[in-house]
Amino acid sequence: MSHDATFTAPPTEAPARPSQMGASPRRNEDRRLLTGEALFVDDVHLDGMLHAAFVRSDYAHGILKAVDLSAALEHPGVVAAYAAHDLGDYWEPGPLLVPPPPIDRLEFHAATQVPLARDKVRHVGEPIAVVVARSRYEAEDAVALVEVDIDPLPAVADMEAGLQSDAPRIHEQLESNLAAHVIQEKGAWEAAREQAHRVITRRFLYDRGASAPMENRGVVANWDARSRELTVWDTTQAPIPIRNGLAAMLGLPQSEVRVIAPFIGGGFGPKIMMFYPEEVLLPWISMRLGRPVKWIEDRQESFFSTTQERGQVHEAEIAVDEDGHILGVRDVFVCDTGAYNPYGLTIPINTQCTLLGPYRVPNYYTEFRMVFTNKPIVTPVRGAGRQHGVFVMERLLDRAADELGIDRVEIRRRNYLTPDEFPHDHEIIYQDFEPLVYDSGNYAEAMDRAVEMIDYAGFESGVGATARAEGRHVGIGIVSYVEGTGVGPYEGARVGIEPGGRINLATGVGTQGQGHFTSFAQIAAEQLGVEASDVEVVTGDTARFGWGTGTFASRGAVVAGNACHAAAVEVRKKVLTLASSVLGAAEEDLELADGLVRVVGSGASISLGDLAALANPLRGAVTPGTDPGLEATAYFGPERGVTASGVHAMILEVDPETAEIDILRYVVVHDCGRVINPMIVEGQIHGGVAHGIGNSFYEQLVFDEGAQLLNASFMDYLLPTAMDVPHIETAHVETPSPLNPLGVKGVGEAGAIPVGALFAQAFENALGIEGFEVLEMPLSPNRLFELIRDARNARERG
Amino acid sequence: MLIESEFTFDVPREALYDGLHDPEILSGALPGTLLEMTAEDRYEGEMEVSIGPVTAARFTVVVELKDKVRPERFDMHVDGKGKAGFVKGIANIVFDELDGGTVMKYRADLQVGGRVASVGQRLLDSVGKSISKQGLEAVSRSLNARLAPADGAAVTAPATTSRAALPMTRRGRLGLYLVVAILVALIMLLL
Repeated sequence: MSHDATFTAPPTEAPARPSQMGASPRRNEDRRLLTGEALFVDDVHLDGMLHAAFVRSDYAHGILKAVDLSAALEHPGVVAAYAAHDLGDYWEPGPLLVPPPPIDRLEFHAATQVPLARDKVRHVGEPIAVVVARSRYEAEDAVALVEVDIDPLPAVADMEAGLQSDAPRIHEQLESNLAAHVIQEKGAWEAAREQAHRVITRRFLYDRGASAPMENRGVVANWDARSRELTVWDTTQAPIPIRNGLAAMLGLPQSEVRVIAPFIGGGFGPKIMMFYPEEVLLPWISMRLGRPVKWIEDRQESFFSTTQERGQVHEAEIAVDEDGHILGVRDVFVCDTGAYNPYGLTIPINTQCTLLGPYRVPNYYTEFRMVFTNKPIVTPVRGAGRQHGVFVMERLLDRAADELGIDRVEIRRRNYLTPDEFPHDHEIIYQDFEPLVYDSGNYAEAMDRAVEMIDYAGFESGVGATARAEGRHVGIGIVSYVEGTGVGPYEGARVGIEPGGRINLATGVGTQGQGHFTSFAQIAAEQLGVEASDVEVVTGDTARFGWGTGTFASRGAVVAGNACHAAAVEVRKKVLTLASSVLGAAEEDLELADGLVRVVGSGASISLGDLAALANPLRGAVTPGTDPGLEATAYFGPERGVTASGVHAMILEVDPETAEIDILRYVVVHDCGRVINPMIVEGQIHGGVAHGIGNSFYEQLVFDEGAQLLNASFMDYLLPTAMDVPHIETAHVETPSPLNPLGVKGVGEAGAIPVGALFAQAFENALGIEGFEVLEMPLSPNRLFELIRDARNARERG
Repeated sequence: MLIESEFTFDVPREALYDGLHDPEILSGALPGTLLEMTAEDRYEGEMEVSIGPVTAARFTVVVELKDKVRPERFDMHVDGKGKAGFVKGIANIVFDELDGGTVMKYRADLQVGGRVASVGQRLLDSVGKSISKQGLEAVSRSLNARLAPADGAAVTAPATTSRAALPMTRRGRLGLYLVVAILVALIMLLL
């Protein structure tokens, strides 16, 4: 076992043969996925399995006076039903998953979600009771028989109104709805403002969207009293923290709890280690009844009971000199955390930090207030607050470019950090509690590539001029962003060689479609001289690997990937040591290729499988101290996150009469350091861009003034379809990170982050209406139409 | 949500106000409802509606009529709860004379919650309006038929009771029926 053992080993140590790294082999997982053999939580069927359904609040805010389960309990097929008071000591608010980081003057008030509402309901969809029956059908029917008496209270729907002194108070134990207040400062904003040639001020809105995974959440729990094992199949991104938490709550040793996160149809953040009510209750019910219990979230439940993101209101200012250099930025914002704040400050701190982007910002004042509202809980969704920061900064730069008469690309170039400025300390604290220090990057190169790919220079006289001549409105947009990725604390992996010659690899992170079965396989294959298809990867089963945190924050490839690398390097050492003795050759003369260890220049070789058998003798003696097998476990914990970056550009056509759009071209130049698998990186970017397009022009959770969600179905909540997502042209800039042996950076969220800012700029460029500015996201055809109409009316009024 | 509209009847205001208190005029338009007057101007009951695949969605309804000024206006306080959600709010109904006819203006400020709101929102406005209109048109036809000179053939037997003869428990039901019309409209949206 080693800890960061290979930290100093350069990536070039890898064997001289066709590299597995940087290749795009067929994905190992796809055969199982495409033939229906992959196990998802709803595929779990156990003898005697019961089904749970939840009674949820119709009210956004109210006093819960009574819950009467008696009629439900008499319904045929019902085995049990529970309300909060039935849970006894098991009823406890969930854990605070992320404590506040060490920032001076920070104010934070925690209020975490409860398993079942008791005394009060705080958002529509909050669970009040659970019914367990022979079938989901019977459970749902019985749910309809539960009598719930709620006295409605005025609801907080608007985050800014929620901060006012007369706002209804959501958590009685707190003095107000203020969940947090944080100020971070670098340099001296006021002084920078005094010296500025121009100061530009705007108010920006970013509203909520759903994560809308293809597979909703689900849990199956099975307590087997004879083997004393609680097995929980859970659509979680973080099975190990869930295992640890459930063991503590249920009073079981961790060794008696096994959490399996099998194949999962998309996570996007909300499936993190939330300790959702359903996740906490099903294991308890299974232990109480001694039977397996299943709950699969339906799509409508998902709109209320799965966490959401994005509500923020920013008041921002930028101070620039006459050449467009940024002298400073001031940003004061309000951030909606919904009814509870179990995920602490990750989102707004990401916003604060990501706002700085790839730019040199000498003076920065950033302040936020997080507020409780009577809306579903907010936790990170792909991007996790970064969208807002990028939107604010890119919009301010666009306005500065306009006012100073500087080209949009040029003003960005003038402010980019240059490759010789790394590591660059932004002097504020990031979500991983460490100072925000960028490790590496080459922003100008990415911009140059994007400018070339989309033909930025030729647009005005080419595509733009042609469109204008035809009376069409076609615009170009181009924006930059960075993404802090790959935060700690650590992940681990175990790599071993089977006697048959195949490689097994187990890691603790869960998988939701990222291609882990292939990327991690490539990392191990690179060291062991096999093909990626020779490596069997297991993820997300605490019985197979029990240390780690989970898949989030674009950290899988960085943190778990480097753990896989470290373990494979250790196994390679064991292979060389044993083969050297078996083949009677020096280690330096051995090569690993084609599943064999060969003596270079001679015909002598031995297969990895035969070596593995030799490493596990059944008789005789071994040298004292020898570990059996060709297996190693290793861990990787980076000192801090690594900074990925990129440029997105688009050519967008808008019909100002119908507000319909057509994305004519979409270009992404991305730097995620060394690329393990270009196809998978591109897949992540494509998915992210699709998500970003949804968040920019289709998807918005609309609440009324009573905090009732008004579009909780895919009839009304629009997701972009294949018709709305264009072909995406990608290119990679590779600035390897010095913070990990593989030199990789994360890419899972990148595609989604700058899309709102890009749309805003492209809309303005396409429409060219004086006074038409995009200050909010998401838009929709309807909202765009209103903005166009308002700008035209304002212009006519003069 | 706000439901605000008006409907013109070509009967005099008094006749409308009083005629609207006759449940037989309204019964055809609003099926599936059982309401009892539990106190002066207070009605409680149950409404059951089936629309498409949503069968027998039940609502418990409490309606109180307040600020009644015959024949000019009254307010309805509505509190409906069911498995599909809830509706709570006040509807103001005003009758104005117009060229021998009557304009009935109604303005309902309703809090709507649960599935009714979350799934049906897009249709609430338009369906709410069109259902109310259909119901009121039915009322209008019935009233016109009743007030038309009876030639023996068109008007159905047995002659309806005069308003003076209406039992008190049946008076003031206009409010109920409007509430029900609104609820029906809302429930339509469950899909």
